[in-house]
Amino acid sequence: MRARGERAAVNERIREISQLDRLVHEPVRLQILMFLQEVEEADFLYLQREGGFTQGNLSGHLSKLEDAGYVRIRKLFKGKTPLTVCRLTAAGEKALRTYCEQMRGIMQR
Amino acid sequence: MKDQLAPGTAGRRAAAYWFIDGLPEIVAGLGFVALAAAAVWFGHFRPRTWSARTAFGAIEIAALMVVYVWDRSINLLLKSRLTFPRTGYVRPPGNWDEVSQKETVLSLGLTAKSRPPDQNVTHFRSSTIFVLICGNLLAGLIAVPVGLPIAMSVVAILLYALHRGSERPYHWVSVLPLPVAGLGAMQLHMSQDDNAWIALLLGGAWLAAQGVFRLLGYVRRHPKCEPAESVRP
Repeated sequence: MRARGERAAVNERIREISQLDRLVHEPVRLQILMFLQEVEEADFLYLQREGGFTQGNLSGHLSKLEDAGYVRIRKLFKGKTPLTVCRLTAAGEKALRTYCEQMRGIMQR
Repeated sequence: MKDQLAPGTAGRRAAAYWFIDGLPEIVAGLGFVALAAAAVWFGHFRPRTWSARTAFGAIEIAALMVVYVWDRSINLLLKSRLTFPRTGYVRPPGNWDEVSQKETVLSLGLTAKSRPPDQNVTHFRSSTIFVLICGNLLAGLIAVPVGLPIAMSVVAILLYALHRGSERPYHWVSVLPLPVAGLGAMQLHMSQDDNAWIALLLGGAWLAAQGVFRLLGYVRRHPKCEPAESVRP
């Protein structure tokens, strides 16, 4: 009886893990989202230095996050310097919050 | 060699990033030097010509504007040419409540809530600039000849104590030149009024020197390279 209960709990946990947002769950993207949530905005170069990413890696992951509407990317000039500035959108913040709540739920069981 | 950024959360590192190149210290320090030097010059020579008085007034107003109003704009202009192409741009969080809320979410409820990042510009104004002005007032209040060294010692102690654990801490060795300079300036036997401005002059020069050392180290560690923005993220 007890074994059946434990199996059900494990199944429930597996089901919850499968429901995680895979776009957020990927470590590099999660790192980018978490970083952007703590600052107002950051440019490509700063993100690259902060996370130790390569240009191609960061570029690819940012594109995916932008396509999903989680990150807003703008080209702007600070003085004469062109900057690619990234900012977390409301959808991105919500997705990250949901992901954190799901993870917390899974880990607290 | 890695930059001496405050450890901790990304938000706190972003707040410390404002001081990575020493430019805020150079701008504020030079503003104080101009303000104090003009006051000392005016006090000594007391020019009677209209043009000299106007020049004095213009320097004083411009220096005050640099320190209190235009500092952020000037820093952003300089950083856009020097810092952003080298190490990037970040805008740290601007609201304490907002930061606390965000950190709670990020911690997943598993760790204790860490201290929110200090407000970089606000903190710089309320500590460094405030302390230098305190030195200016104190040197004017304490009678000569010991007023200047006492005021500079107090400034050094306050700068060291208030910045411990902040995003821009000062090592005790780096504040040591302040009382030493106060002792040296005491030998000039200036009047009490002049001493007040000399204290500000020394404080400003010290602040600018701190910034210059930091800037030289930063430029050496980060030679200019092609901007990464040429790659479309």
